Parts: sequence; C-alpha cells; structure tokens
Amino acid sequence: MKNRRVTFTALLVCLSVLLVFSLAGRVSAAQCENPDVLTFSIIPTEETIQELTLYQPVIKYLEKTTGKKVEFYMPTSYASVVEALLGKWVDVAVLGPYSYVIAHSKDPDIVVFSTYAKRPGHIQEEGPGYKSVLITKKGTGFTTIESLKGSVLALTDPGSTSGNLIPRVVFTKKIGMPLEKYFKKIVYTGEHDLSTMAVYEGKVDCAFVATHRFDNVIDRGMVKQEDFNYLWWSPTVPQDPFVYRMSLCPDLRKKIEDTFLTIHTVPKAKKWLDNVKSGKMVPMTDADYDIIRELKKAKEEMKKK
Amino acid sequence: MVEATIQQKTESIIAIRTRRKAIRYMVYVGLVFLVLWSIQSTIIEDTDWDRIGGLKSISQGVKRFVPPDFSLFGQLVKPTIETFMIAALGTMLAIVLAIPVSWFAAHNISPFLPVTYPIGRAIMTLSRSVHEIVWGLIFVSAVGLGAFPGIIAVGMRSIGFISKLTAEAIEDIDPGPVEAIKAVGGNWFQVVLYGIVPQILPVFIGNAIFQWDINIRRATIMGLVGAGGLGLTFHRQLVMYNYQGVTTVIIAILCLIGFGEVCSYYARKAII
Repeated sequence: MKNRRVTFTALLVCLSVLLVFSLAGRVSAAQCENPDVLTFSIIPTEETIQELTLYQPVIKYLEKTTGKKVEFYMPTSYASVVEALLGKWVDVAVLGPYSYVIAHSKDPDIVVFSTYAKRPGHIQEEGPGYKSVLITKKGTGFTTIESLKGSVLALTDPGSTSGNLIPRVVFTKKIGMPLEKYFKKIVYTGEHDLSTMAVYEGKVDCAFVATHRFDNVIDRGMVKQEDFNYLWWSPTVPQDPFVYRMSLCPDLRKKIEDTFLTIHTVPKAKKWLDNVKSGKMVPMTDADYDIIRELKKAKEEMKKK
Repeated sequence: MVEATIQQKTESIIAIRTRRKAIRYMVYVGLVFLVLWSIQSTIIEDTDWDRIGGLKSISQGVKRFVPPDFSLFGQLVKPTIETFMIAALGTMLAIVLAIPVSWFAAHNISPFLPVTYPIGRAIMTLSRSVHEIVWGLIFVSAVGLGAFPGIIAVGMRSIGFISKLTAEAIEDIDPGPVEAIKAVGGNWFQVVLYGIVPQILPVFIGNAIFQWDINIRRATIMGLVGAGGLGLTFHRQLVMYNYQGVTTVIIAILCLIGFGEVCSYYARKAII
C-alpha cells in the first residue's frame, strides 16, 4: 500500500515538473520586439578571420547606434545560428548565401539587409558577389572544356555554392550531361584552397573554385595567377548576407541597417572591412538571392531524377 | 551391448564435433571474405593509384602541421577551462537525470512495470542514439547560443550510458539485504536507500567518472553551438589554414584529456 503511494507521489512530481516546463515557453508578443540586449552572431570562415578583437569596433559601433547592449556569439556551424534565429534567440547574424535561403524559406521573418562589396582582387571583380571558376594547371594540355572529358574533377563539398552547386546546375547546362558522366571521377576536397592546391600539385585535373577564395591562395604566396588556365566563369553569386529578424521594431531595424552601411566611416572598423577585402557595405534585398534559390531548386530536381 | 552403446555414443559425439568444427571454419572463411571484400570496395577501388604520393608527399602533408605555433598558448588557457567546465557541468546534469531514468528502467524496482519500464528504456536508447551535435542543435533552438545548450547537449548524451549501466547494476543486486529490510518492516523508500543504493553506489560513481572522461572529448566539439572552448579555437585555426596553430590546439586537447585521465584514476582509486 505504502509503496504504491510513494511511487504515485513521485510520478506526480515528475509529471508536474514536465508540465511547468512546457508551460514556461516564451509568450510571443503581438507588437514588434524591442529587446534591451541585441544578439549578434557570426561564423568564423576563411574571410571573417578569427581575431575577436577585430569585431570589437563593430560591436561597439552597433551598441552606440542602437543604444543597446550587444551580445556576441561565434559558433562554428551555420546550422546552429539558423536554429537560434528561428528560435528568436539571435537578432542579427551573418549567414552563408545558401544557408540564408534555407533559413528564409523556413521562416520569412529572417531577411537580408546588407552585405560587403568586394574590392577587386586577382581574379575577383568589384561588387557584392563572386563567381565560380573552372581552373586547370597550365601546361597540362587541359585548355578547353571539351579536353576535360574523362578527367578527374575536384569539387569543394556538397554544401558549397560555388564549389558544388553551380558546377552541378549551371555548368551542366553547358556540357549537356551530369558531371558524373562527363568526368571520370569526382572528389570532394572540403576546401577551396585544397582544391586549388590539388590542381596545382596534379592530384586532380581541374576544379571549381570561388574567385575570392582562389585570390586568398594567391595572396598567401602558394600559387601564382599565371599558373592556371581559366576555362569557365559562372554568373555572379551574392556574398554572405547580413540578416536580421523582421519582428524587430522598424526603427531598430533601420538603426541596424545604418550601422553596417556606415561602418566604413568608423576608422577602427576599417581593419574588419580590409579583412574581408571590402571597402564598404552595400544594401541587399531578398530578391538578390533568387539566383541561389534557382540553384537550390535545380539541385532538388536533380535529386528527384 | 554396453560396448556398442559406448561406441555409438562416441561416434555421435565425434560426428557432432566435426560438424561444429565445419561450421566454425565456414564462419571463419566467411569473415575473411567479408574483410577482403571491404578492402576491395573501400580502398582499392576508391583510391587513385596512378596519383598516389610516396613518403615525400606524406611528409609534406605532415610538415604543414609542425612545428606547433606556441604563440597561441596565451589564448588557449580560457578555452581549455571553458571546455573542462562544459564537460563537468554536463556530466553533473547527466548524473542527476540518470537517477530517475535508471529507477524506471531497472526491471526489479520499476514503479509501474508496463508503463515506466518502457519509458525508462526509451529515454536510455534515445539519449545514446542521438549524436551530441544533434542534441546541441535541438537545444540551441530551445535556449539560444552559448555554453548552456552545449552543457545540456553533453548531459543528454550521457544520460543513456550512466542510466543503462546503473539499471543493470540494480537488476544484478544481491536480494539478501533487500529481503532483510523488508522482513523488519522497512518501507519501499528504506529498501531503496539501505538495500539497493549502497550496492550500486560504487558502480554508479565509477561510471559517472568514466563518462566525465568521455565528456571532456565531447565538450571540445561544442563550439558548434557557440559554447566557445577549444572547439571554436580549433575551428578558427583550421579556417585560417594556420595548421601549426591546429597542432597547438590538439596538444591542448591532449593535455586536458591527460589531466582528466589522471583525475579519474585518483578519483576511482579513492572511491572504489
């Protein structure tokens, strides 16, 4: 008898704890959000170098213009930033183009407002975007797209825009067949610089790399621009989008936009822009990322086949 | 008559043995074939043999990682402590949560067998079969970025292991003390406290320490959810192509794991 009662009580306690937790979910406000603390999140990539000190001026400026405290997080995966945006834990973030399109389709509340305009580099043109380019090593005899039939191709990784998606969607229109058919073998190197080095060292015959990433390899003095043939250029792909949540109050959103669009006027933040090889930031709209959506759609159709 | 039966018996035994031997050797042959087939399909067909580099290219690959970049050392102290804390707190969380789960999932003391036993077992399996990265992503959308989701993720991942071994320890207890306490009129709570807990405590604590040891390794990848720590430092060195810095971070992880090993050795000695 007693056993039963103790057990029953214990179960009841467990259940009530669960109930309290489920009810403690945040109640969504009907009006716009005006939080006291803004959460800003960015992923360390090759461009957005690791020095946390580099972001300090940017964060300080954002605090000054919005009049709010800014909490800064640096996770190592886009997936967790997107999850945090969807859960309304992050207000301002920098995503990759592809992860942005996915995030926006999951929740239209997440919208792009700006990106940085690239300075011209070795093969990178000026503007808010980059291209995917097909490279081969000079002197290997691979000078035309036709000559690459049956060769070994390096892609970056399945999630990469310029290193996988564009080759599979846009380039295949040119050759009229899937990459697997055209090339003898396809390898994923995982990084643009590894793809570049693989071509340079003759481990693969050709590779698709992003223009600005390729420039970085030249900058590090590992290869020269004239070591390669450039056989094909893709249309322009927009840069990493800076996003905020539309549910933030309009005046706060305006302040956030102005912060980044005038960031080049802050002397201390110049280093941060130099780091991404940019002179200033430019406004972007959601429509600028339609090319990514096209790529994504084409990719999904390819999967169905 | 008697001889005949003995002979029959020995013959039948020999026949059974040879049959068993045959089956055993067939299994061996099968295993060898399986291994050879794996090598063929994963290594031989997947490698570009014409281009494979010799020792020279391997040493070139290694050269990028040495010598370690010791200028990073000052930056590594805080992340190392962060990682250590995530592991410790995650393990503590798991220890607390594993108690009810192992109580539910132990066949002999499960409060209401047809309902609670499956629930306990399900939690156990779920916890162990979902990767800590997935747990991390789930908790990022629940509690936001930072060390907190990392701690919960490590904790959730550890519940299964601790509670599984604890529940099995509970099932294997010596029923003597339990019966003795029941015989002198002890209620259910007293039975558990004085009859069961003392018997499983060493096992429970031993497992918790072992799990904490594993969690130090797990905490290093929690940079993924914005928990910082060595995972973030590692990732940053990697995306900057500072391979020598990567080596430094690996050394730091090694030191931390070594420290954990030493701690758990002495803790285990002290307790068990």
